[in-house]
Parts: sequence; structure tokens; C-alpha cells
Amino acid sequence: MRRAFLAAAAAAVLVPAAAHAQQTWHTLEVSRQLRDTSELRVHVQYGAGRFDLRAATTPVLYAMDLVYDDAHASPLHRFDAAAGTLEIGLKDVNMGWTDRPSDDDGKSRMNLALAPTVPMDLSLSLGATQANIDLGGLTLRGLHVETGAADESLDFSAPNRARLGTVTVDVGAASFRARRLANMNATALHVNGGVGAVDLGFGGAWTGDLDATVKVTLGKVTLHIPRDVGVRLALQRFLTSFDNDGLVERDGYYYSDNWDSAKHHLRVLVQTSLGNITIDRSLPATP
Amino acid sequence: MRAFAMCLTAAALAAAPLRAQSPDTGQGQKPHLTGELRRDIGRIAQSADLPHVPPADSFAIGGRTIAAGTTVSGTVAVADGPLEIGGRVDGDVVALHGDVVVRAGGVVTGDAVAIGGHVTLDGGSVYGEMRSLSDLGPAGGPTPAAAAPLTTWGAMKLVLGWFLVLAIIAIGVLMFAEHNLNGVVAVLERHLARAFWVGLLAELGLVPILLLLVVALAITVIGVLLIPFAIVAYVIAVAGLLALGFLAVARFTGSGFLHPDPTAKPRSVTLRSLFTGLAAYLGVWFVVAALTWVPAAQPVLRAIALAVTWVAVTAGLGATVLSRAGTQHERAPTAGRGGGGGGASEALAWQTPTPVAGVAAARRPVSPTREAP
Repeated sequence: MRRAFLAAAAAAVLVPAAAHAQQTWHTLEVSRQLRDTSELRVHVQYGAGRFDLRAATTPVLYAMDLVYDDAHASPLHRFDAAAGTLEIGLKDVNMGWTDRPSDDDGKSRMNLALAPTVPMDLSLSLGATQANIDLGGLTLRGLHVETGAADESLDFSAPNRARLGTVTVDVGAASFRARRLANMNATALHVNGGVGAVDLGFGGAWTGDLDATVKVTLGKVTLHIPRDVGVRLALQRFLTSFDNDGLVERDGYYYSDNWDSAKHHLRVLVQTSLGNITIDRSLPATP
Repeated sequence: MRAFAMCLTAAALAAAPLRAQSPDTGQGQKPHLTGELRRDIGRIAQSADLPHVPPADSFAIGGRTIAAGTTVSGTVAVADGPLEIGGRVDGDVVALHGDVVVRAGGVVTGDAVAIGGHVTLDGGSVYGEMRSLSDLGPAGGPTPAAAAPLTTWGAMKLVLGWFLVLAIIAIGVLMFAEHNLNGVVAVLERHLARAFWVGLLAELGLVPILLLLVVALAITVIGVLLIPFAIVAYVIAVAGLLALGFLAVARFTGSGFLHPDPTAKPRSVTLRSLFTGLAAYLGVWFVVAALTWVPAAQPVLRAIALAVTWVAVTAGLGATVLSRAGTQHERAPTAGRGGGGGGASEALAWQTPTPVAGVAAARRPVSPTREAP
């Protein structure tokens, strides 16, 4: 009797706790020819996998290439020409976080191309993704990015064709890198991070001043700023180290030495706890 | 008369290819519409997000061409072949197991859908959406729940289930093998590091010992027949040692978390320690399960959980081996022969053990010559 119990206990301890079941993968290509350049509100939704977004190079309004498992997700592509809305991406069948599946072996992916000449208000809702987003060359009038547990790279490889107002980026437990943010042609940038690293590059073509707010609960903040842009930095930090690369403290702010003479200015407020703030002014002067 | 009949026959034979070559070949020959194809057509509405799918009998089997200059109203559907559009279709176009090609001058005012094929624009225009699906998806709708990948909640339930199973087994061990368990725990308390290294050696020796056993049995004919039974018995024995060892480690770990309570009964203390230890070790796996929705973190978390579990199992196995499955309990340490140190136990250690019944007092022999003063 003793041995039987011990044998059963041993089996219970030794059997692996995880199991993977069969998945069914599908490929879907969706596109629509470009006929109308009226303003469009675009909402992109993608839960988990590799995500790629860039300006289209063919005359399409949108083109999506999707690889997905239909057991827990269904494609989303709703275009309403009258209302000027486009909802596109992949919708989780079971929306709760407890129903998210385990590793999908990296097969899940979404490639999206948007028309560069259509003015749009773009909203991205990304889950646990590895995202490469290049919004260069698009005509964005509004931008909101929301990510969960993601490794996200955002780039503006070419100047935005429209004037952006406030850009909002909400980052969960994630690594967020942005490059050439000056190409956004925006007036304000708000980055709200949870736990993770936020790396912002303000290179590109400066057309005006920019106000930026960066809030990270627990993590590292790195700002890359061209040396000919005047910088004023406000810090609210707790148990956080600060590497200021030559900024001078004055009246509660940290100023660059060219603040008064610079043509363009970046006013930054950084709030973080238990992390590290690094200011890097080695970027070359703006063209 | 004969000539007239031959002319009629020739005319009939000539008309068939002419019909096949007409601008709109939708009324051409219809290859066989199989039952499987009919079922696939029935699934198009759900898979292709195309609500207005024509009936299966209106599908052109083998392909179709809409020639330039022609106009077709309504949904044009083909199966097992391409759909080539040079004219105008006022509606949707669907190709099952085929491509949709819109040539220069061709226009589709609705959506163009290809299932098991591609929608290609060769100079033409599609006013609606172009969709290319790799396949229809599984028959009968979405994949059944039993085949779905493990979700976060599923993983958490699995860990909770294992905790319940181990808890039940632990109660059984306490009822039937508590003495063995105490023996293994005693070894862990006194020789934890040694138990781990012995366990490591034991793990490395599991397979060689089994091979030796098999070889030893293979020497005789009867032994060969006993090999399968010996293997099963060996596996059960090893499983038993591992289980006993892990439960002992759980109890040892649990007792470290609990505050000592002199008033509590020993069985109660043992039970609480055991359950606390099991909760601690399975708690690590519970955290891994709760973060299933973060694939990036899974390798690291699983590695940590596996490492913790492996260390516990190894130390338990070593303690089980050292204590002979808990049958050998170590004696309490005694004082050295050089003396030293106080304590009642050491002071009494030299005494000869006294029988419980006592010893009858012996009368000292008295010499008969001694007289009282």
C-alpha cells in the first residue's frame, strides 16, 4: 500500500505540467484598391505574433497579409466607405487574458500596408507582439499606439505628410524603441510606460518645437536628441539614476547650452521610478 | 435522306464546341459536382466572409471566363478552376480551389474572393475587397475545444489539479508511510547538502543500474523471461523513491515557513508543513501558468520552475537513498569519550541501562568473623 501511494506520487510529480495541442494555421491576403483619398479613421488590432506596418508601395488603400490560427482568432477587416472607417487585424475569439494561448512557435504574423496619400487617424492596439512599425511617408493626422507585452520598434523613415497633433503611446510590460520622431511633424508626444525600457530617438526633420512627456513606472529611459536642438528637461524621479550628458540645472530644469539660440526646442518631462535616465546628444545636427 | 441525317449529325457535333467557345462560357460543359465539393461550397459563406454565396449547382466547375465586352449581374462562382474576367461583373466573384484573374478592361464591382488560390489584378479593377484564403479551414467550424492550445486559464487549472493530486497522495503517505517519511525528513534536516549530491549520483546511476539488472537477468533463461517484470518493478521502485523524497522535501521546506507551535499536535504540524511545502513548489509552477499569455517570458520562467523542482527532487532522492527509504533513522548524537560538556543526558550516558522491572537489591555478603564493637 505504501509503495503504491509512493509510486502514484512519483508519477504525479514527474509528468510534465504543460501540453500543446494541435493548431490549424491559415493564410489570408486582403487588399482594396485605392479609389478615394478621403480622410479615414483606421483601427488596427493584433493580439500576439509578429507585426509589421509600413506605407504601401502599390496603389492600394490597404493590404494585409495574415497568418493565424483559427482556433482562437478570426480575421478582422471592416471597411465602411460612408463612415470613413477601417477596422483591420486579428480579433481574439476569447478576449480574456486567461484564454491567451501559450507559445505559437512564432508562426503568427501580420503584415499591413496603408496608403501613403490618404489622410488618416491611426490607432494601433497590439498585444504580446514583436512589432516593426514604419510610419514614414504616411499622411497621419492622429496617432495612438497601445501595446501590451511587446517588443516594439517605431520608426518614421520619412516625414509625415500632414501635421500631427498629440501622439500617444501606451506601453505595458514592454521594450519600446522609437526612431526619427521629429519626422512625425507633431506638436506633442506622450509615452506612458509600465515596466520596461523606453528608448526615444528625436532625429529626423524638425519643423517646429515639440513637447514630450515620458512616464515609466519601472525601467530605463533613454533619449537621443540632435545636438543642434535646444533641450529643456524636467525630472520627476524616485530611486533613479540620471546621466545628463552636459545639461545644466537651472530653476528646477536641466537646459542644454544652446537652449536660447537653438532654432528648434524639445521640452521633455520624464517621470520614472527605480530606473535609469540617459540623455544622449550625439545625434548629428538636423538636415 | 441519308445526306440530310448526316448534315444534322454534323451540325450537332459542331455546335458543341461552338457553345464551349462562346463569350460567356458559363453554360459550357459541367464536370462532376462531387459531394465533397458541395460540402466545401457550403462552408464558403463562413470561411470567406461572403454572405451571399450562390447555390452549389450554380458554380461553374472547372473554371470560367467572362470575356471582354460582356456584362454579368450577380455573384459569379467557379470551383476547381480559374475565373478570368475581361468583362464586367456587377456583383461578387468567388473561385474555390482556383485563381481569380481580372484582365485589363475587366471590372468587378463587388468583392473578389479566391479560396485555395489568389486574386490577381492584371490591369483590371475590383471596386470591393480582394481576398485570398489558403483554405476553407477545418470542417465543422472552428477547431474543437479539446484540440485548442493550452490557454492561460487552462495551464492554471492544470497546476491546481496537480496540487490536489499531490495533496491526496501526501495524505495517503501520512496515513500509511509516515515513519518512512519522517526518516527521510530527518536525513534532510541533518545532511541536506550530502542528500543533494547523493541524489545527483543516484540520478546519474538510474539508467546504468537498470542496464546492469537487465544484463544480470539475461544470463539465465528464467532471468530473460523476468526482464519485463524487472523493468516495471524497477520503474515503480524508482518512482516510489522519487515521490517519497519529494514529499519529504516539501515537508522539510514547509516547516521552514511555519512558526513552531509547541502546543500543536505532531500530526497536525506534519500535515501543515507538508501542504505548505507543496504549495510553495507548485506555487512556482502556478506563476509560470499565470503568465502563459506572455510567451516571451515563458522560457525563463519555466527554466526557473524546472530548476527549483529538479533540486527538490534530487535532494529528496538522495535523502531517500541515505535513509534506505526512511527505514533507517539516525541515532541522536552522543558526547565524546573525553568527556567535557555538561547536560543531564551526558551525565547519565555512562550508566548501564536499567531494566523496566527493576533490579532486585543484592545483599552484601557479611563475613562471619566480624563482631559489632
